[in-house]
Amino acid sequence: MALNILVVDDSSITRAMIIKTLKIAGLPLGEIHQAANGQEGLDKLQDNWIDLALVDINMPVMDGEEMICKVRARTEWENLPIVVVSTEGSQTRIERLQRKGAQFIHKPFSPETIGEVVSDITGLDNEPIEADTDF
Amino acid sequence: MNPSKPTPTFSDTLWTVGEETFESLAFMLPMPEDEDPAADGWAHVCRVEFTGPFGGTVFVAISPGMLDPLAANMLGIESGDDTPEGVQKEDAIKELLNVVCGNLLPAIAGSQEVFHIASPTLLDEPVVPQKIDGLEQRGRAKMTLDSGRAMLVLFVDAGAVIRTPSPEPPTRPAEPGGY
Repeated sequence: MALNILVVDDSSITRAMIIKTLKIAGLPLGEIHQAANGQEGLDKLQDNWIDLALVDINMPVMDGEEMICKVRARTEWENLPIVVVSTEGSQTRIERLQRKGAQFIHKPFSPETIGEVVSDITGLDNEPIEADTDF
Repeated sequence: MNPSKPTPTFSDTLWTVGEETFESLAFMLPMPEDEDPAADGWAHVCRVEFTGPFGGTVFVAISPGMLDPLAANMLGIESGDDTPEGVQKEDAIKELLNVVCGNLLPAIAGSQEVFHIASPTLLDEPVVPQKIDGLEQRGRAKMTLDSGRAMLVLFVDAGAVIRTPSPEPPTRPAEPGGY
């Protein structure tokens, strides 16, 4: 199954790094959509079929936590796999997001971590990932 | 507290977090640099503000020639490949600072505290201020890298009391004659 993925982060270089890392991790990728804040992320979800969202927390306009709350409030998205990719260091906040069904990847991240978490949350029967550790 | 191990200063923690961030995010290996005001001549200075149990701001400054390799390394661009776009270069230093700040705060305030980190901004004038009204400088780390130099500076609310949690569980002191 090829995954249609939404990457939500206000940093263009971080979006590029995440997308490159997803490719390096050997995941089966379909369409990849990008958004620079939570509101844009909701708009992308509205207009496209998305299998997985990777979401930052601290963003202008609408942060990732608010976006996740709005996603979970919609019945059609209530089971959407969401991975928070953030520098967030507060265990309090991380646990709050995990209670909303999101998994968490701490920045900086490795291709192995991305591959494992995405495989786990999407239920992919992924072949063992041989990540290119040069990246 | 382990009496044989002095509590790290905020500058120590800033250095450690900066070192780990440069290494893991940009594959750059920093070495400590002595304080030398004459050597300051930054090409880019970026600032991020944070609020929470205490507020403050963190700066990163990099020397001329650092931005291109920083962005290229973060994107995994080999020499001869495409070069990073202008906006990606700006985002590179902003993201570096974002990761430093995000990892610094739990290191100095503990993992239970919740902070809000604003979006980093690139300063028009590449100068790190010596003083900021209402804030006091509590940490500074200067480093030399293959492609240049960098400096991290932490300011927090003046008079803020920060109780850094112990990174290790307390150890039982050795008892005389014990095994």
